[in-house]
Amino acid sequence: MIDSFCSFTRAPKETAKLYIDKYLALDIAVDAYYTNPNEFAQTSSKRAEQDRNAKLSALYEKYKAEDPQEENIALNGTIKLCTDLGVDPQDVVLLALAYELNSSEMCVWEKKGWMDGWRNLGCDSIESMKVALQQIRQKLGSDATYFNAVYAKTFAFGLAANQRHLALDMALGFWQLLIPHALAGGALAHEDEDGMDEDGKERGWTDEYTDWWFEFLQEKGLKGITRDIWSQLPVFIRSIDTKFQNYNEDDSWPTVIDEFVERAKSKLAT
Amino acid sequence: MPVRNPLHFVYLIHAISFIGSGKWIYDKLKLALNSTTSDISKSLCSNVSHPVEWLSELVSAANWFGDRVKLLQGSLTYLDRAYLLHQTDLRTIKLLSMELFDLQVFKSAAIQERLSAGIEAWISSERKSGKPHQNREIIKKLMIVLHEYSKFNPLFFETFLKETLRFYQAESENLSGPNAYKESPGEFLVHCDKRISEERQRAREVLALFPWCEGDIQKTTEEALLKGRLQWLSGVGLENAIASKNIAGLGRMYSLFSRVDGLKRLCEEFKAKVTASVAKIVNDKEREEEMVDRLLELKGFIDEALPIAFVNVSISDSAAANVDVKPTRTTNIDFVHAASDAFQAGFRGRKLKPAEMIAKYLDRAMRKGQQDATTEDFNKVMQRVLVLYRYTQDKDVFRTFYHKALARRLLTQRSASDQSEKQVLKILKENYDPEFSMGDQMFIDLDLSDDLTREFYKRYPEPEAEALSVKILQRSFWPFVARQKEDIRLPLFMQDVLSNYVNFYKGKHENRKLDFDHSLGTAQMHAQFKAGSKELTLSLYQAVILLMFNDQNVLSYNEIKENTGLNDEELKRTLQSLACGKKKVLKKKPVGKDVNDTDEFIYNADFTDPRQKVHINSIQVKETIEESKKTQSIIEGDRKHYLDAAIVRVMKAKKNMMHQALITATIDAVNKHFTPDVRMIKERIERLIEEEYMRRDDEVDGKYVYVA
Repeated sequence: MIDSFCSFTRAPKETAKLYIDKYLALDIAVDAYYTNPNEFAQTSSKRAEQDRNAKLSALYEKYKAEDPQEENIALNGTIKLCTDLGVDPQDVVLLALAYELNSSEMCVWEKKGWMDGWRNLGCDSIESMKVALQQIRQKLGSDATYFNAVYAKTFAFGLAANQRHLALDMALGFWQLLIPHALAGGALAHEDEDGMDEDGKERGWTDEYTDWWFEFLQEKGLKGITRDIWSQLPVFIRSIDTKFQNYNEDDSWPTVIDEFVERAKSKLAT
Repeated sequence: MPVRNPLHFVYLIHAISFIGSGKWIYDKLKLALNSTTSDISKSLCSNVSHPVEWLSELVSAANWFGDRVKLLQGSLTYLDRAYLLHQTDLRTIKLLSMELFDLQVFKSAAIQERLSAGIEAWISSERKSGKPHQNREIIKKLMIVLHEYSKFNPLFFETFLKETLRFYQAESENLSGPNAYKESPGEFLVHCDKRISEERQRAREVLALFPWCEGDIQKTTEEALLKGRLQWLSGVGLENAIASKNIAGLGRMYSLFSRVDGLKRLCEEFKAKVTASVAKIVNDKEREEEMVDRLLELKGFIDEALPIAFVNVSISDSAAANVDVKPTRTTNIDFVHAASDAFQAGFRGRKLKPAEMIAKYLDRAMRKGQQDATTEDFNKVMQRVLVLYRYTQDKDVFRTFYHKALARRLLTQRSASDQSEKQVLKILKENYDPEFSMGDQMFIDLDLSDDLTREFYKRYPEPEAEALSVKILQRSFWPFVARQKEDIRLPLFMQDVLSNYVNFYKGKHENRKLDFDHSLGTAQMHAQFKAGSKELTLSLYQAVILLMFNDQNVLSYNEIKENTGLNDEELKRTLQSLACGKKKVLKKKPVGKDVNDTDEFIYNADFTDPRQKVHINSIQVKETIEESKKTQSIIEGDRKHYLDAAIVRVMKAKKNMMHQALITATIDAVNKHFTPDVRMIKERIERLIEEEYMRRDDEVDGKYVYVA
């Protein structure tokens, strides 16, 4: 009967079996098939879905098992995960991943985020995850909008409980990862209104300035970075020219940036 | 004279003219005149006399020639009148002769050169010696000749002006140099004045035929002397004149500068110099105590100088006819504004301190009172000080310090006169800052307190009660922070009376909370010494300590500390005032200037004082440094709140706003109290973003959005 069904409809055997099993008689089954050939399609993708969920869930449990007393995947699990994925735990891509998996704090991966996140990235195996990581690393460096989203998430991600300011060493650590990556990839490239490059020289912010910025903050002895400073820095980096000439102190920049520019200008002058 | 041309032939031509050959005679005459003038010219050229004497030769030649021409005119009247007058192409004898003289003599380059040399020699000699030249008469005669030939301008005056310019430019260069008046431009200006009047005098005496040239000469002289010197004069000159309070010097500068179109520069420089002077005074940290006096002195000088030195003198048309009417003198308003701007700018040189010093200066003045001065004079002094206050941008600093000092004066009854206090408060409130109305409230509190005290006496008609006088102050109008808990422990009898008062007060105002600050209290008491009884006025702290010696003659530091409950710092200060000051009502063992924990104190029965009433000074806490720092930091904190409130108010009204507009609106909002700097405002904005009162707009850079 299945073979007959297949010869009538040219449907695969599995489909034929589903229709025959449900409608029992061949003619009714074929009729039903022509009326709605996708009757069992949903079920099949649901099954694939269930299949994927099961795989992701299993992976989750595997890494969670590294820290049995924790509710979520924690430090040891993270290390194991990184090893399996072939990335350094200090890799900038983990910040993008934290954004994708909506991780609430460092080295903590909640189950819901894990499931939703990987699913959105279309992954259910270590291999597919490796591919996805390559993609989001590249996107983080080159796509300004994506960079902004990850960058904003990073601030919240790095805050200690009940804190409003990001501890300075944390902030420096994140910037160290994010800024050079985005500078190299173009996500923090200089936004010039006319888009022209007069003398063919490098324009805008450089890695050296990132070092100056760190040096300045450490000397100033700031304990924490406010959300405002955090969020204005990329805007500043994109807008500034190599000589800090287009900087206007009367604009709405945070005063820390005013002071930094004074410093940088005097440094450039010597 | 060298030329004595044979004029005999003119008689001949005279005869001929009658027979109708006018043209022939005219030609002969022209030839003769031509050769005569040519000879004169040659003779003058070859003359080798001294340049000035040569001028004399020129004058003689011209005069001789003139005489001859008159003679000719006389003999040839008929030719002149009957014939030449009707010939359009022929000149009269006079014109012809002058034309030829001009052509041969004045137009000769060699003669012109000698003439110039003569003029130069004469004028240089006069200018160098400062005296009229011995041959000045020659020049006067020369003027007549030149006048006659209408040659004054091209032959004399041009040269004269050129030489004047050259001479005074060189002189100006020299005199402003390091070996002359470089450091004293004032003297240079005196010299210029002298030169200018010399030149005018000379013009009147020698060039009287040409009265119009006096002005030209003066102008040339002034420009030559001053044009290149303006920067130096206005710079060093003004500085010296201000430093030495030289009003006449300033006036001289003003009038000279006005003549060479240099007033704008002078005004700018004046402003800069006054600004610098003010800034120097307010920044002189070593002479802070004198700051206000010095500022007043400078201000006084400038105010005095303005209507004397910086005035335009003009004579109105109607007055010009009347010699007795004085010309109107109007002060140049630009300089008045410059002075005012300069003070304001100078004050900007230092933040906070000037305002504080002005407040303290007023405090001293109000304590002293008007004394022998008339009310009018006293008010004038006050007004002058308050004008300084107008220049500071830190109105809030002044108000805080003034308020504090006022409170202290009123409570310790150190103010010389309530009348003056109210007067000054009124001026402050009406002309400067309405917040000074808190002064009125302070007086009301004091008056109400007196009423309450009187009522209290009626309720408790006992001597102990009547010894008490309480001032009830509403905290919001008085600048004191609540006392810390550990105030002095009062003796029981005092405490009882005070408790009665509290009950009495609570009976009237149940819900009010009373806190006492005994450190502001004063006391009067009778004390017995060997030499007799004295009436002591002292602080309440001092009084409480002294009362302990009623029961015991000797007390150790620790016993006193135990009994009073005062902290070491206050106790030591109080004991020091009683036992180590000028008026020692206690003796300290061991003797010394400082009080130690191990010291003992003994009632000093031998105390004497010529007066019956004795005031024992308290030792003031080192108000100057610590407390004023504290006050400054309170002001800083207040300013932050002020700014926060202003920013939020503005944002709430506008909902969203661009950065620049917000900054401007905020400055406007607080301007009456102080002038914030932009960075401070930016910091407050950042803080308010942090506190989520506002946020940055997602789309537009530099735009803020109010968060409700």
